[in-house]
Amino acid sequence: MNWQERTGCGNVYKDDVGREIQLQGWVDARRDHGEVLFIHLRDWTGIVQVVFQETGSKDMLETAQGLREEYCIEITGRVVARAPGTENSSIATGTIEVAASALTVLNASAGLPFHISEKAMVAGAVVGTPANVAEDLRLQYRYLDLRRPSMQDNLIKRHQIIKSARKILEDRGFIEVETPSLTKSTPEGARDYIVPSRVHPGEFYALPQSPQLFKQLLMVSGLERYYQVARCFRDEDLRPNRQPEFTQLDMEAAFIDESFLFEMIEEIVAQMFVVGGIDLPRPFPKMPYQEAIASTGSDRPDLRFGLRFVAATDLFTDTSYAIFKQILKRNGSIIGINVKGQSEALSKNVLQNEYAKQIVPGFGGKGMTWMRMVDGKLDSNIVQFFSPAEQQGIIERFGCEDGDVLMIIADPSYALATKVLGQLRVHVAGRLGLIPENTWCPVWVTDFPLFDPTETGGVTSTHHPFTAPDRTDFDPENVSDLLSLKSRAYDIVLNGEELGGGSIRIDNREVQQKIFTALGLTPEEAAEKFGFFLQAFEFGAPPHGGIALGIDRVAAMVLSARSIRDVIAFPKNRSAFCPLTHAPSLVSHEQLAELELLNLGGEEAMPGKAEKNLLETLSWVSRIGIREEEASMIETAVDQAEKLAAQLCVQATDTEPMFSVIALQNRTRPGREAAAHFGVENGDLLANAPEVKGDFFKVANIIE
Amino acid sequence: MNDTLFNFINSDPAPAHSDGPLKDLRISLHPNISVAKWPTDAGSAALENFRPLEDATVVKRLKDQGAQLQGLTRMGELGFGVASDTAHLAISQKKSDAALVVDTMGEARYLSALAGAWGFKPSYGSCSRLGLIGLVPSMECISTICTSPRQMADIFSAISGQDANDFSMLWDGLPEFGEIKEKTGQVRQAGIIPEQLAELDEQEKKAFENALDGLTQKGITIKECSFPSYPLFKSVHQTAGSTEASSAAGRYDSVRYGRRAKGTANWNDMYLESRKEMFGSLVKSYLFQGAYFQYKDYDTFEHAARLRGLLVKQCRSLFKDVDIILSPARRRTCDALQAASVSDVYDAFALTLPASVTGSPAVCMPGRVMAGDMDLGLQVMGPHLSDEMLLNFAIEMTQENTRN
Repeated sequence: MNWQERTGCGNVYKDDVGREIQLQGWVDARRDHGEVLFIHLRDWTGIVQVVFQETGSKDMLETAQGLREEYCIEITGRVVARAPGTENSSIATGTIEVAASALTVLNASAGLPFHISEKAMVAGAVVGTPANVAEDLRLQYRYLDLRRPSMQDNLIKRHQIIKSARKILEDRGFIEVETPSLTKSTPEGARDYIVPSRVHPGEFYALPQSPQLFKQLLMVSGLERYYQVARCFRDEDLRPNRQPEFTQLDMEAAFIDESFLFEMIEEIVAQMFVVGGIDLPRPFPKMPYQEAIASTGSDRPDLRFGLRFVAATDLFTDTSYAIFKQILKRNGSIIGINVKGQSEALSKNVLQNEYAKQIVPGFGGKGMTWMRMVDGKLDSNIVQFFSPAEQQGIIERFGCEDGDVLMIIADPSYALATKVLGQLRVHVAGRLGLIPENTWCPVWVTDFPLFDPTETGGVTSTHHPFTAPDRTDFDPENVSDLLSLKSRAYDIVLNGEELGGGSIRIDNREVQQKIFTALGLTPEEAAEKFGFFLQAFEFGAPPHGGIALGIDRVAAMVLSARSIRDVIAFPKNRSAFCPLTHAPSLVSHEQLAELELLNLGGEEAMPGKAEKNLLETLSWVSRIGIREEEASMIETAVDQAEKLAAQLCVQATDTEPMFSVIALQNRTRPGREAAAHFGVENGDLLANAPEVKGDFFKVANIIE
Repeated sequence: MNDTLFNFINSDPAPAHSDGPLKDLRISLHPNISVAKWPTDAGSAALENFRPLEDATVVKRLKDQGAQLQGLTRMGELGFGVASDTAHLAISQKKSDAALVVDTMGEARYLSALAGAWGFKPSYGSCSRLGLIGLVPSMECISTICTSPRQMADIFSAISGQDANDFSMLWDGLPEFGEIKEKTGQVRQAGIIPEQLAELDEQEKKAFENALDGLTQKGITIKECSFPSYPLFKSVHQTAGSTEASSAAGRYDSVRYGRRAKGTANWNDMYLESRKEMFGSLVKSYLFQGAYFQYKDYDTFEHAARLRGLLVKQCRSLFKDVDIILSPARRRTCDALQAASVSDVYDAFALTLPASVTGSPAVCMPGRVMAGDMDLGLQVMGPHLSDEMLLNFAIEMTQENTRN
């Protein structure tokens, strides 16, 4: 077939009835009616039904009988209207079908590890969903997983999301500049992925955590408006929705201020969400950091629901309730939320045994005080410790009505009290279904503190040390003055998720040095750390600022994906491992030797180096500790294994390895669907576990 | 439960269906075959307090056919070796009519010889392994110790056959075994392997020759079949078996079940300490051998797999000349119940390893290879999937006995 003559499977319409067309694509599903055989043929434009009738050539019918799911085939046929009553509304081409006159199998497919088809061949029939397929199996066969129309749609929409942003940026005169991937450590503060240099033995590049330094240097260069779809790398602890590499839409502009960026980013974000059919309410409100913390306990406030904090510290100035008294003595805070009308869902038992004893301690809180409003009175296990005046004060302050539940956190630390109550607020809202669906609440969080206090009485940058302060007349030696500084940084937050953040940068060498002094860095130390960068600011740097948006997270939100892995073509799994390529993997001793990595650690054992103690190594890699009394027995066994190896290698053979007498068929058997085990549904799966927390198996912390 | 034979006794063994072909048959099980809610700990702290959520496929089938499941006997840790096993005692003391045990190296055949009973390890892939809590996935088979060959055939008919939930079974080409109809005369030629017999002492040889004489009298021709690669069976089994064990034992991590060490500082420590505590020294030695192949010398494991392929091929061509291969099932001098090291265990099972490596079915007949009053068991091995023939042969042999 000539490629120009090909019609897309999804591009066949009622108007085409009577036309002869040529299709190429994959067999999505087949239905054999004896005399008639139907298949769904799929390409990335869509799905069309092809019918092989008895009247066709014998050869073609024979070939058609042999078709299986995911065969790649070519069809010539005539478009015909379907008989009334046989239309299939689950596919866009459901009113027509193609009567095949010729069929070529381009390539057959092996049996599938999971079903790919997402469209029923008969209107109303149920099809399997990938939700039941183990994610690692999907990742191992990612190229098959990406054949599924829903996954293709995700990647196509992701492309459209980025494209819509590019258009806005380019309309405003931004140009795309690429910055290096092999570079030096940048100041984001997460762990770097490092790459050894062969040419400079023993020295390493770092993969960028962001293009931060380079984009600021581009501003110094006078390339006034820069953007990049940048891949960034951070070697952080594992989290379910975190990838070791991720994509940022990174921007920087010179001679602008916050208002320029707010307007543009709002436009970009709004257009990105339009790809998912979502209209964000505009303009995006702004909320100072202090207010976000005071009302929601988070710098990523989820504003889709109420449950705003109520400050109550002053109500208890003279309290005789010992716990509050102690906390107030230490200058602590008492804050709470009023969960309106939920006293049925939040029983005494739930409040005391689940929230106070388990959930709140899980958030790092020391405890929780709860009260329920019943018959115009507060009811709680401790309400008797409060005077009538205090009780009245609580009722008025929280606006209590019958059926309300108060959840109150008291802690000597304001930061901890707000953090714990913030997590509690989100937890309660989720549990009680108080978060409305299809509601979008974007917000700019502004006026961050420039510095956070450290435990040793100094300060550390809240963002990074190049963020501009709101005033420059500060004393770098005066910690309380420093802690009163606000930064010119801003985060864009949507429904409690941070989509991105940025700041106006410091463009003045003296101000920059004051910041370093505040951070406890001498000019020499600063030069050593950021020398090349600081030097650039001695040559007339322009005022500038920028922002970066996390594309993976934006795309996942726009497309309501369950995980960011669903909007990335080839992601790593939750353990930062790629089941498809098996990366990361061991490298050969020779490779390490060539990079001169073998002797870096001095006395320490290095990868590839001959171990001092085989037993210790085996114990570590197989995570089996050895009891003192069994060490010699195990040593004998390992010696024997070495001898066995020596003995076996003498016997030559070129026979194929046989790992089992029955070759493993690691495939779903025909007619079976992956399904969740009943133990998952009813919780029995946890019944044998030595330790459980909520719906999860509990293990020790990953790091101490 | 304080019983010397049973780890767990089922207080209500009456099955829901009581008129199946296995009606009234009292069967005990190794505690590594899952029965829902029973304390199935496979003799290891790695499964301390573990109670399966559902029945193994073979257990479901036994129940459906009316068998009475009596309880769980004791077993060697995770099925490596038979030290502290009691399945054979349940049979010899007539507490059970039959026992379901897992055969990885020859346990069912060895224990049946000890009990003076019938043992049968079916072809690999003919009985579902779903619900078998195992250690060496490519070798272990759910096997039986029985008081008669007819019983053995009935149990096999009940438990064998396709299970769509067990991916290690044959996908295509697994025979429907159905009822064993007692066909006679299928076995005419029996082979013996001189390289195998060379390892026996005089008394064992004598006993085995007596057994062969008995078969010759019943019209079976005995043929010597040289098998120069025979010594490889042991090293291949040990290399592949230990590597698989090391890999399979990764699941024993104290997270979903099993003993968790107290007070560990972090994730790695939790695994190290829990796994230090949960495994006994014998099975741990085996796991370390496997760890050596898995992490330090994977090439040798792969090479062992090649040699396994070679052994299977050579065995197949051997079965072109003979219908079955005969040997004793155990040595007189190596006591598997006392085996305390990995090499002791392998020495004790030397004679039964070939069927495990090649996935072949094997029957162990009692009362034929007698060294004094010690029954060494007559092991009859057939080609892969010749289970029906072997069971028919076993039945035929007893019938002629009664006729004599």
